[in-house]
Amino acid sequence: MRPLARLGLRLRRLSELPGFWAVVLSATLLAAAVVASVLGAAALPAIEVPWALVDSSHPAHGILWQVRLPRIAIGMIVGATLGVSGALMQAVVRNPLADPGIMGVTAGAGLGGLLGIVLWPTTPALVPALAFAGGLVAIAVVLVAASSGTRVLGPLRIVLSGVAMQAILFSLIALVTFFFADRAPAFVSFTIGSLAGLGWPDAGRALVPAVLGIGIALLTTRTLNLLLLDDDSAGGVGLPVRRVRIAASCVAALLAASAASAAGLVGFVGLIVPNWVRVTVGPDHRVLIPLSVLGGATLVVVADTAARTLAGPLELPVGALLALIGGPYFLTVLWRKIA
Amino acid sequence: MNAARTVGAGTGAVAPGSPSSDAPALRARGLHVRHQKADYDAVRDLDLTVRTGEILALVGPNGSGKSTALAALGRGIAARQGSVLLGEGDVWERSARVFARSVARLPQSAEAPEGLAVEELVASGRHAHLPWLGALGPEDRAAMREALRAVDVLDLRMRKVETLSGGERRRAWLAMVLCQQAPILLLDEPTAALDLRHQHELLGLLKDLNRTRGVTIVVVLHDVEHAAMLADRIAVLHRGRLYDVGPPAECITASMLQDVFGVEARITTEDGRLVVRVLGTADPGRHL
Repeated sequence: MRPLARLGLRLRRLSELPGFWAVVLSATLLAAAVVASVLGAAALPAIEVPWALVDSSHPAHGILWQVRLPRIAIGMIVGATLGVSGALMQAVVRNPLADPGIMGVTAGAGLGGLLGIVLWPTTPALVPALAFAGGLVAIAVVLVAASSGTRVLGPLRIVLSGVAMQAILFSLIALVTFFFADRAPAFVSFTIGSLAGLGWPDAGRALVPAVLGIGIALLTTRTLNLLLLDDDSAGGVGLPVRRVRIAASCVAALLAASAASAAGLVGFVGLIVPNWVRVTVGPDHRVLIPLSVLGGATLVVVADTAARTLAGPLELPVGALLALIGGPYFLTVLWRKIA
Repeated sequence: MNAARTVGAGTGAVAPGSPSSDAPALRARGLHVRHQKADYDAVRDLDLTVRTGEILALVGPNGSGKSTALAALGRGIAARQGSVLLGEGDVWERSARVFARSVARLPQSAEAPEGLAVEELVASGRHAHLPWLGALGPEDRAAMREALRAVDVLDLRMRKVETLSGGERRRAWLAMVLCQQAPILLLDEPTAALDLRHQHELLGLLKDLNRTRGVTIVVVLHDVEHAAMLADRIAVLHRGRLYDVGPPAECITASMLQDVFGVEARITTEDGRLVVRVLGTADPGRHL
C-alpha cells in the first residue's frame, strides 16, 4: 500500500507539470489515430497498419489513404482549431465558460451554410465558403454593436451583444429550416456537425486558417496573459486592451468559422478543452494554447472514431456525441465549483 | 538594453540627490472627468502640476475624486474636458506601451485570474519593455527579483495569487508596478490592507525610490499623517475640485480638516512629525 500511495503522490505532483500533459495527450492522440485507422467497416489488424500504409497492393491501402487518414487529419485540425478558438474567446471575455459560439460565430456560420444549401443546392462547394463568411460577418456585427463610440470594449458588452446576435441568427436558422423542410437531411448533418465523407481537399482547406490562427495564438501567448488581468491593470502595464481584444476575437472567429466550414457546427470542443486545461495546469497561455491544440485534436479524433464505430454500420454525428460528453463535463465543473 | 535599466531609471528621471525640479512631469489642465454611467463630474476643473522628482500626495475624503484624478493622470480614464500632458505631449498621444515605460500605475482594485502565480503576475509589469513577440530576458528577471524583494514577496513568488492574504496580494501587485521601472509612479492607496510593518516599509521604499533614483511619485493616501510624512507637496481634493496644494505644513491645517473632512482636529508636531488628533465632527464646508 505504501509504495502505491507514494506513487499516487508522485503522479499528482507530476500531473501539475505541463510537460506531463503534453506527453500524455500526444500519446493519446497517437493511439487514437492508430485505433481510428484500424476500426471501421473493413477490418484491419493494427499490426498491418504500417504495412498497408506503404504497400499499394495491400487491400486496405486505398481505404486507409482515401478514407480513414484524411478523416483523422481533418478531425485533428478541427479539434485543434476549436480548442484554440475557445481558449482565445475565454481570454477575450475573461470568462472560463465562454466558447466560440458566444460571439455568434457558430450561429453565423450555421446560417451561412444553410443559405448555401438552400440557394445553390447544386454547388455543395459553396457551403463551407458561405459558412466561413457567415461566421466572420456575425463577429463583425457583434464587435461593432459591442463598441459603441469611444467606450472601452468590455467583456460583458461583448457577451451580451454575442448572445443577442446568437438569438437572432438561430431564429433565422429556424425559419430557413422551416421553409425548406424538404432539404432537412442536408441541414441536419451540417448543424449537428460531422466529419463523414471528408477528404484530403477538405483537410487542406481547413489547414490554412488553422495554421495561421493557431500560429498567431502561439506567438502572442504573453500578450494573451495580460488580457486576463482587469482592463485597468492591463492598460497600465502598456497593453492596448481594446485593440488586442478585437484582434484576439477576430482570430478566434477565423478559427471557429474555418472549423464550422469544414465539419459543420461541432459544439463543446471549444468550451471543454481549454476549460479542462485551465483547471489542470492553470491559466498561463504559454501552456494553455499548446495543450488546447493537443487536447482538441485528441478529443475530436476519439469522438469521431466512436461516432462511426459505436452503432455498427450506422454513423452517429460526432457533434451529437461531443455534446453528450460536453454536457456532463460542464455539470461536473459547476458541481465542483459549488462544492 | 542598457545599464540604466534599474528601478525608476529612464526618460524623465532626474539625477539622484536633487529632490525635485520645477520641470513638470505630468500636468492636468482644466480637467473634467466623468465616469461612464455617472451624471456628474467626479473631477472638476482640475489644474495640477506634478513636478519631476517630487512626491505628491492626493488627499481628501471619500468621493472627493482622488482616485479618478490619479486614473486620469495615468490615462486610465479619458477626460471629458481638458487634458493631461506628459512632458509636452498629451498622455493619449502615445501608445499604451510607450506610455507605460514612463508612467506606472497601481489601480485601487485589481483582479488576477484564478491560478495565476505571483511571479507570472509580476512579469506582466515587464510588458512595455519587451518586444511584441519576445520572452523575458535576464534583465527582466533581475528587475522582477528586485521588485519582489522590495515589497517582501520574494518567498511568495510561486504561490497562486488567490491564495494570498489581502495585504500580500496588494504587495504582489505593487511588485508588478515597481518592476515596470517607470520614472513616474502613480499609486492608489498603496498602503491599504497592509499591516503596520509593511506600511512602514512601503513608505520607506517610496521615499528611497524618490530620493536615490529620482522617481516621481503621485500617491493617493487616506492617512493624512502618512501623507505629511512622505510627501513633498500635498494636493487636497474636495468634491472633485482642488481645494489646496502645497507643502504639508501649509496644507494640513485645522481649517482644511474642518472644511474638507468635516472634523474638528488639533494638529501638533512630535519629533518633527505632524500629528493629527481628531476631536470630533464638524459642520463640513462651513468656510466655503
